[in-house]
Amino acid sequence: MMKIRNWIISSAMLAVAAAPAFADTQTEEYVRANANDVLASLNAPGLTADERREQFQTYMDEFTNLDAVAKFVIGKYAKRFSDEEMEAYLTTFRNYALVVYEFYFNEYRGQDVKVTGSTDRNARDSIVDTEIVRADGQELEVRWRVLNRGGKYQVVDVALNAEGNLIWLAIEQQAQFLSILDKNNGSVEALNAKINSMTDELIAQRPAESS
Amino acid sequence: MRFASVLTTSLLAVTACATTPTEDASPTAVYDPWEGFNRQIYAFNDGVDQAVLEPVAKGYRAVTNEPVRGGVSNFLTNLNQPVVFANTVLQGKPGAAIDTATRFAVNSTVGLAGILDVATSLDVPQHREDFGQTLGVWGVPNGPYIVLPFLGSSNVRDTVGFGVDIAFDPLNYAQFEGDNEFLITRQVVGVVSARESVIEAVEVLRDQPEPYVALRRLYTQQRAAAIRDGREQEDPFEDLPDFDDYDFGEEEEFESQEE
Repeated sequence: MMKIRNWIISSAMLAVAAAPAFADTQTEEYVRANANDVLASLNAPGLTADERREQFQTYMDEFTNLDAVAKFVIGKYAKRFSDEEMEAYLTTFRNYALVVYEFYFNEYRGQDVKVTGSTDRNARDSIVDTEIVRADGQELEVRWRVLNRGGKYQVVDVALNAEGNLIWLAIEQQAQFLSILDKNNGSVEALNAKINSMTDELIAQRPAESS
Repeated sequence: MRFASVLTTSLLAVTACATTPTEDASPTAVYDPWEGFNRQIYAFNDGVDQAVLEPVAKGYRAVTNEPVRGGVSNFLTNLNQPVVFANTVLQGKPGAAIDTATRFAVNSTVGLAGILDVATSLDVPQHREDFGQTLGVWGVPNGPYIVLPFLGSSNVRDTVGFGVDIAFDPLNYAQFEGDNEFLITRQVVGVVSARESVIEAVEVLRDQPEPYVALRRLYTQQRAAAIRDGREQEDPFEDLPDFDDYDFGEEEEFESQEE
């Protein structure tokens, strides 16, 4: 009898341990629908470049939590900046982030985002796996880190899989921003100047028809 | 003479390894105690790259078509297969060793001295192994990050590996007419071909806020992935940082959900 009970308990524990960790379907659907909307917005026919950009930025604001990302990428300095410094930095970062996202997402505009799986880190933190096929046929594996805050989903980081190496963009950006801040005694002006120069460079590289 | 220089390189690297301080505890931090010196070498390499390598690589792309560049790349890759084979054996991967030996035999003959990659069309997979990876498989840690003059990103373990791979390469011992010229040409063409293949990647790197930091992290992460043979970590999300410290501005909603 004891043996049977132990067997049942062991089997149940094994089943729980082996159960695949799926994010709820709402999280997956959130990524699928929004990522497709974002990529579609860059390809929206009948809109001027400015209108397309405005639509893209509206979707990005809804889809991602730019302020949380902005604060995350400056790490320990998020608590050191004064309110005025933080405000200036958040504006600078937002401008930069939207230009960067547009620049890189542009390569995938109009493409289909397919959800291939997901993992829950916990009830409020999930990773959704997707595949995006580029116009040239190249397949890109993209992971989206989605946080659920009070029932509101928002993406806070994106990872690209490069031969088994997951490159999380916000984590990489944090390492670089912290290095800039450390070298400049935590100067928000130095960081903003660097970010602005990168924003200008990306704007200068925009294809003529989308400028 | 050649072997003596290889041995010296290896010994120098081993000596450096013996003084390796402990690694940083953070999961994604790269241990770079020689950062000041490394940054100077990085700036030097970048200067050489912009003045010489990049223009030559772009010129090479301009005067060749994709099949020609593919043939050159195949030829160079095939020459390196004995080194890959040695490392697959040392890593205890008989399947990969057989694949590598088969590829070398097929491509060196049917593939016209390696110019054509016939083995891939026969579904014999290609493996990329070097002694830095072998040491990694054996559990040797990276050691400090190093930027080598002209060679670029490395670490103490991979620098040792680089020296040992030169010692493994039978071509470095082969004696034939024009052997020195052949080896020099192989190195030069190898550098140009490799640089051509990363033209776009280097442009993306230069667009980064801190290219030195970006490359340091990318190199270290890619090497770790290569040691895992391109497999993802067992739990790739285990060490992800927490975002809760970075105010979401919706504390009330968050608290109500927790209840």
